[in-house]
Amino acid sequence: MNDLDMRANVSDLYARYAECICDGEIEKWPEFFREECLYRIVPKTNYDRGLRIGPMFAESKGALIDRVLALKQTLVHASRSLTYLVSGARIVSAEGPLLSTRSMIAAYQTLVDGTTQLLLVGRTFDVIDSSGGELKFAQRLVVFDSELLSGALVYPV
Amino acid sequence: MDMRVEGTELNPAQKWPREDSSRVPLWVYTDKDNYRRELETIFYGPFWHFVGIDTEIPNAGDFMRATIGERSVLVTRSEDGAIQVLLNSCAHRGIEVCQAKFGSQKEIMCPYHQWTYDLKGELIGVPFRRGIKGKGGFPEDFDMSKHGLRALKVENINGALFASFDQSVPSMEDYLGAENFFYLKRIFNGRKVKVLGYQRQRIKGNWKLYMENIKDPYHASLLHVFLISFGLYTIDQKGVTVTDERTHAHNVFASIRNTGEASGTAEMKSFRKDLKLNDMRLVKAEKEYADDVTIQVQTLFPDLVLQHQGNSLQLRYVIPMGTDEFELLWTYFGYEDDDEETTLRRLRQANLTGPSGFVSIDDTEVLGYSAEGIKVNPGATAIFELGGRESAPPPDGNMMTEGPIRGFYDYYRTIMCGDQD
Repeated sequence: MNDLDMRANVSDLYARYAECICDGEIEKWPEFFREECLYRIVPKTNYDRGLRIGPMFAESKGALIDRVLALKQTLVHASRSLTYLVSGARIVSAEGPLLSTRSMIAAYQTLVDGTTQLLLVGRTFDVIDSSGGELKFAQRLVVFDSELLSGALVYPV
Repeated sequence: MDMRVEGTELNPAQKWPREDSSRVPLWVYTDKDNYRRELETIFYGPFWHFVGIDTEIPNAGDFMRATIGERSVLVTRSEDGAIQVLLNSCAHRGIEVCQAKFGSQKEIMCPYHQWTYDLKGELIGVPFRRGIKGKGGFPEDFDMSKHGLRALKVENINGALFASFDQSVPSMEDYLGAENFFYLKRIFNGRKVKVLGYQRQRIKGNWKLYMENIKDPYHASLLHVFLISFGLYTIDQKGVTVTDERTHAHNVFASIRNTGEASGTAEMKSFRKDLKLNDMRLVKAEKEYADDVTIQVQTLFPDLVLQHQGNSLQLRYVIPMGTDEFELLWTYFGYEDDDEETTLRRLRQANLTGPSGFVSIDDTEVLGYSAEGIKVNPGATAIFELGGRESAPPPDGNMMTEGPIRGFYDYYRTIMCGDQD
């Protein structure tokens, strides 16, 4: 695949990923990852100091499916709408089929009867595996700017 | 009708309906005057507040910011290795002298007029103290030793740092009572502590609602479907409830995880027997301590929770922000001699707690719903009768009780009102 096509596919992946969560099709979210994967959300204040604690930490696609299960079956949470604005998705480097990519993201949340609020902004540092038919995330790391979150961070980013 | 005595529905008189604390009037969560008195009496009074872990400031010159009530404080490590906690407010004109969260420096210098303090808060430098070329300057009798940063009383419990604005506060051991002190030191046992990271949330609702939530085993097996579905907690599991005799306001729930079937599930409307995890590593804990306790949930009056659950260790510190909002600061930690496998277990099991926690999200959400319901009905009253109406712990140690919440308010009333009226 030539360079331009690969770049188009990566952009497409980022767009479809955000759509999946924001359109309310969370059960399809784990499919964006390969079986062996690493998914993390970490606040910048921890990330800059090399500290690994953050709201979400998953070491397999199974763990992502478990989070979807919790979201749909067990977690008590109020209904909300989400809109993620993703920009600057690009390939930083490639090592064989593994592409190191990054993007910027702003997540907006609207609770029932609420005005739209900014939930978080940040950067993502990802690894995409292009060895299969479809592009899949091998790693996704979301580093958000604030240490502080308003309420709960219920849905993945 | 005398409004000041009787009050109105939206401006109720500050009365408590009963002698016992089985009735808690909702104005304690909404009244601004009461909140100000809480700050003065509790947060800035003779009580202990968590300010950090000592290994975060390992070297002389290191400092970090912390918060007690609404005040910013600086936790510093001086040349002699001692730790001080200083009010972050210049003796000159009150400005916050330090804005950084972490850092290292030999002195503390206020950016406005460059008044300079040493790491113990002593004032060591005042520009133009003797004026310029013999003109101006401070009076001869200006005594720098009287204008240092206000120093708090500090205690270091094997790495967990506590501070108080009131020097007359009893020692932590006397403050907590022997049993709660024992449980605190079960976790802070002398092994060097390592912080794995922090998480912070702004949660809607009065700060006391969070402390009540952790003192409430009633909700744990009803609200938290994730907890009970995967056998992480059941109301009847073997354990102890330890309540401090002096205050009834410090508690520990320490229990051993059930390995068998959960009981009482017929009464839990949300119990789901069919749920299975794909990645079971989340719920597989390795034994770490000499005893068999797998869960220790401890609430220390007024604003701290210490939890050990499996291999996840966290401190949760409540910072009030007015009557209707608070900040929850999570400190996740392990020990410096943990191997990578142990650290991974701690990181993995942290998915249960925090802003995205499989268990904690439920609490964050219902606290928000509590805030909405309470703030517009300050004239109403909360009812705490599960397990009786008094605050003494049940003799059989059962956990099906709201006694710890009644105990919190018994103590709260003696502090805030002087008596039980």
